Amino acid sequence: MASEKITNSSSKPIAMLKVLNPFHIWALGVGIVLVGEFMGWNFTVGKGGAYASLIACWVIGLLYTCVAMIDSEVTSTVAAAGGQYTQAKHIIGPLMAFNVGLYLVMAYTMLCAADALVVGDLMKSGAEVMGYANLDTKPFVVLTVAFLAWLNYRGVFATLTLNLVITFLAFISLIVLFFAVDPLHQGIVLQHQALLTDLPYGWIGVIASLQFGMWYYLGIEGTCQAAEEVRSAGRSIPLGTMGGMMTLLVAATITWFVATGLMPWQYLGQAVTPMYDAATLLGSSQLQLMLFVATAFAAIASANGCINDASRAWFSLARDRYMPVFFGAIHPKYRTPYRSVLFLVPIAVSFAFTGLLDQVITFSILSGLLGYTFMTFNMIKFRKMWPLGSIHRGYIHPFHPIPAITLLTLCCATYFATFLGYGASLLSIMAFYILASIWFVLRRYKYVKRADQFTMPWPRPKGY
Amino acid sequence: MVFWDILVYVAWSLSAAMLVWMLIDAFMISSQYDEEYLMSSREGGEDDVVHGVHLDGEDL
Repeated sequence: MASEKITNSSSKPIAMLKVLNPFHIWALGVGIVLVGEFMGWNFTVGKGGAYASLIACWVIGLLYTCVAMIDSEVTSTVAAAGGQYTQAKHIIGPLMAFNVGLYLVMAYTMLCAADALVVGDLMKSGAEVMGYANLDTKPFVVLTVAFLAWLNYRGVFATLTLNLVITFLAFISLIVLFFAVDPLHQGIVLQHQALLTDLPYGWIGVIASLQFGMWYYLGIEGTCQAAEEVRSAGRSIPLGTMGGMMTLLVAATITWFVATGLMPWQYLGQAVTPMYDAATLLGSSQLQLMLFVATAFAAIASANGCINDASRAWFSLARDRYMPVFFGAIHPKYRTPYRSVLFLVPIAVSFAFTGLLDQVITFSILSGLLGYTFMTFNMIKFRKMWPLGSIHRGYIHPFHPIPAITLLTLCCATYFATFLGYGASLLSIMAFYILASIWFVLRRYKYVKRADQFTMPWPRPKGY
Repeated sequence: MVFWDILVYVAWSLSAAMLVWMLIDAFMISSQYDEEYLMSSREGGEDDVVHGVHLDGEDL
C-alpha cells in the first residue's frame, strides 16, 4: 500500500556515500585506461612506424596532462557527480551540459562494451590454447557486464577497491615484463637498433598516429565522476588524477620500449594483443600466463570503471531532468544510482553484441575528444567568471591559459588525424550529436527546472 | 570438451541470476520506499565541504 511506504521522515535528503580516498580515484582513472597499454596503442605503430608511436605517446600524453590539470582544478571546486557535465552546466549552459553529459555516457558505455568484447575474446583464445575451438564469446561478454553491474549496484567502495587491486596487479605485470627484457643491455633481448626504422610514411604518418595515441590514456578524466562519493574531493581528485596520469606516462613509455624492441613495426602495427605476444617471444610460460591474466584484469578494471562513470553521468542528467527523472534515484541501502546502473546494462551488451570493436572504440574516442574540446572553453570561461581568489579552489593549475590553448591545439590535430582514418565515422558522430541537441532543445528542455540548475554557493560571476 | 560447454552454461546462469537479483531488488525498493525520497538527492551531497566557499567568508 502506498501509505505504508517509507518516506523522508527526517527531511534529510538521500545521498551517495562519501567513502572513497585518493587511491580509489587513482584506481578509477588508471583502471579505465590501462587496458589501452595491453592492446590498441600499437595501432599507432601501424599508422606511422615505431617512432611515430613514441611521438604520439608523448604528444597525446601532453594533451591528457592538460586534461588532468584542468579537470583537477574545476572538479576540486565543482565537486559533484556528473563531472564535466556538472561543470558545463554551471559554467557554460544547459545545451553544452546536455551534450557533455551525452559524450560521457556514450564514451563510457561504448568503452565498457569494447572491454567486455575483449574479455570474451580472451576466453576464446584461452579455450583454443587448451584445445577447444570456436568457444561462444557471448556468455562471457554478458557475464562481464552483469557481474560488474551487480558490483556497482551494491556499492561504490567494493567496486573501486576491486579496481584498485586488479589495476595495481596489471600495472605490476608491465613492470615485471620491463625488467624481464633486460632493459639496460641492448642486443641481448631487445633489438631496438635493428628494429627501429625511420618514419615509413613521413610526418603525415605521425599525425595519423595521434588518433590511436589516445588509447594510451583515454578515460583518465573519468576520475571526476567520483567527486560526490570521495571524502575530500578538493584533495583526493587532484591527487588521484595527477598520480594516475604519472602512472600512465610511465606505463605507456615502458609499453612502447618493450614492444618495439621485440617486434618489427609491420607486425606490431596490427597485433591484437601485443604485450601478450611480447611475453610469448620471451619464451617463458610464466610470463605468458601473467600477461594473459593481466590483460583480462585490465579489461575488467576498465569495464568496471566505465559502468561506474556512465551510471553517474546518466544519474546526474536525470537528477536535473535532462533525462527522465526516474533514473535520478539512489538506492536507500547501497547508496548507488541503481536505476542508472541497471539501465546501462542492456545498452552496453547490445553494443558488445554488434562485435564491431573498432567502430565502438572510434565512437568512444570521438565522444571523449569532443569532451576535451569543451574543457578548453570551459576553463577559459571559468577563470574569467570566477577569477583566482573569488572562490575556494582545492587545486590551482599553473600557467593558465597555456594548458587550455595547448589542449585545444592538440584536439584539433587529433580531429584531423581521425578524419584521415575514420572520416565517415567522425561526420556521423557529429551528426548524431547535432540531432540529439535539436531533440533536447525542442522536446526535452521544457522539463528542466531552470531555477534549480545552479547549486554552487558561489558569488555572482564577474561581469554578470 | 565438456568443461567448456559447462562453463558456457555457468556463465549464462550466473549472468541471469545477477540480473534477476538486481531487477527484483529494484522492484522491491520501489514498492517499499517513496519515490520522492529515492529521488531527493542534491548535487554535491549533503555534507560536502568543498564547493567553493568565499575566501573572505567562512572558509573550509
